Amino acid sequence: MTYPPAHYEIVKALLSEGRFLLEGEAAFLSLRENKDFYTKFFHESFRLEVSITADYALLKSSKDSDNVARSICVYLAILCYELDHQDGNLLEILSFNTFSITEWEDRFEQSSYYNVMEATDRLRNANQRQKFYQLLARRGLIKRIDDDLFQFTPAHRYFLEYARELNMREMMAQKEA
Amino acid sequence: MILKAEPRTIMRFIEDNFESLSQLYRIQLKKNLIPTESFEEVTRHKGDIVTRRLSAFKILRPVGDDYRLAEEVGAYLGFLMQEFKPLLPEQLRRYHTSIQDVYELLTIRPDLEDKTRSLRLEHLYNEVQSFLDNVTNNTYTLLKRSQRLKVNRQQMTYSERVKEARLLIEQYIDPLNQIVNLNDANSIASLLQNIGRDINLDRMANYPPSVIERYEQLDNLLRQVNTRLQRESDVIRRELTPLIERIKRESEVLGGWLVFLERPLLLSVPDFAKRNPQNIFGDQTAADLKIYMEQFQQQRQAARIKLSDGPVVQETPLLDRQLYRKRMKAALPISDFFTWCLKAIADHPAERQESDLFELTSLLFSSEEQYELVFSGQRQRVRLNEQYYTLPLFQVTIKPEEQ
Repeated sequence: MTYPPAHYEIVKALLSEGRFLLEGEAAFLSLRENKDFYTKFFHESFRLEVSITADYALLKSSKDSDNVARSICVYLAILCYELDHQDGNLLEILSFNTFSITEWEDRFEQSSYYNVMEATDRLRNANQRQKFYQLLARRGLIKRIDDDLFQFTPAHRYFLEYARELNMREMMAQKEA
Repeated sequence: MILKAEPRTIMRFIEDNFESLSQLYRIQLKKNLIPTESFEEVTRHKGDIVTRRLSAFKILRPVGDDYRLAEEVGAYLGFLMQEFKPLLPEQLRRYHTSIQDVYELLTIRPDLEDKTRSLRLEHLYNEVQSFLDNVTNNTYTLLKRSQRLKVNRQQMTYSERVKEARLLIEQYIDPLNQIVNLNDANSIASLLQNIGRDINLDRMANYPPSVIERYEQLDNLLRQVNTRLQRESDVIRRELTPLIERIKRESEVLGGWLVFLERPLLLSVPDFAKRNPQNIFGDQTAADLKIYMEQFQQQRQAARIKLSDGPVVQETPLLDRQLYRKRMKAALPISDFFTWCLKAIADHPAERQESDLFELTSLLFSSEEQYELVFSGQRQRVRLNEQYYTLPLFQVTIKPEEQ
């Protein structure tokens, strides 16, 4: 049998590196075109679920208490909370703006939620956060422009969806109560 | 009637005091009335003469202890400042009835007097024009309100913003969209389209020039209706609805994060990808291997392994079928098979005699086609190992080979 094009890159990115495949990568294109094959492939081989949207894809680990995911959620939650203080649409800022790590170091330290960061292992100090940015870049969540500047890739929406669902659940819970 | 001044004087007065008037207008927009305190606040630094003229020129009208701007002045200020209170869709919908009523007055009697006809055409024109203006104002106001909501200068909380956005959509935007929807047969847009078609035909009839002129005017206006409503509908569809959706979405995301930040370490997090590095060799491999091997080097003595004796194996010798088959064949013909059997096993150990007897019997069945058995019908009683067996008497001979 023949495998779809860029098979090695797809498996390497999704399985070995555990990162997001993004719109624009050759591997993403091939993955989307062979969606059925890969859904089956990853299920039969590893019992893992692939999630493919219009502009990003990832392989779910079937763990819902992952440390990395929790750190990312804490990071994004505080970032969004702080972003809300400035003008403009939050979702647009996240999608299109460029962020400076040094600037955000200051903003995080002044945030009223800084204690949550300190309680999160991967975010507890500037040094750890530097490593965290490397991790984000490795996993395909941000694109680093230089040492200081970065942009979010479309993959950040995966976590925003989580926040929306959480909000929805909370509202339902309130309605029932 | 304004007795004390020329219209131009009043205009000048409005121009001179435009700041105060626009403030008053905004207050009225928000509160529907201008409370005395607010009025005093605005006119604090104005002379007595200004406050007096406001009522003398009938710009301001007292309502109980409070004030209200004259309807026309309010509309004019709103037009100048492009700030309106959005009309409720119900207020817009009444145009459906009024336009239809005026139109029916035109058509109900064909023998209408020319003067009346001309007057009614004028009313119809005004009604349609007023409807269009109101729709435009409404769209514009809604857009501005949505934009304000987006920027969120008032620092509303997320749930408030979602609520406000939902209110705008449900109360204003969706119904407005219905009103201007050309595809809906019951919408005002469709009604105007139908009237437009009829008017276009009617104006060809034989009327005096003054009436024809009115018809032409109305026809022109109705021709523009489609384009104008289409434009409003486009604004609603392209800008207003997506904007409100974005605000709703944004607030939902923020609301979700706030819920998360309340219990950041307890809530379950999204199912994220995991790295599965498959490096067999790495920087650590040599060191790991060394440590692994050292644990064996440090052991002075090889471990002594003691094996237990294990369970006693009991051998149960089986009957040598081969041997007995030969013996049986040699003894053929046997007149009494079981007596022969008992003789053959007589010297076997007592505990095995029983099974050996059956084993010997089975020799007959394993190759029964070779033997011929002749039963006498009698039975004999045999004692074997404390057991009695009643066995048949029969003779075994070798079958003659078939030709």
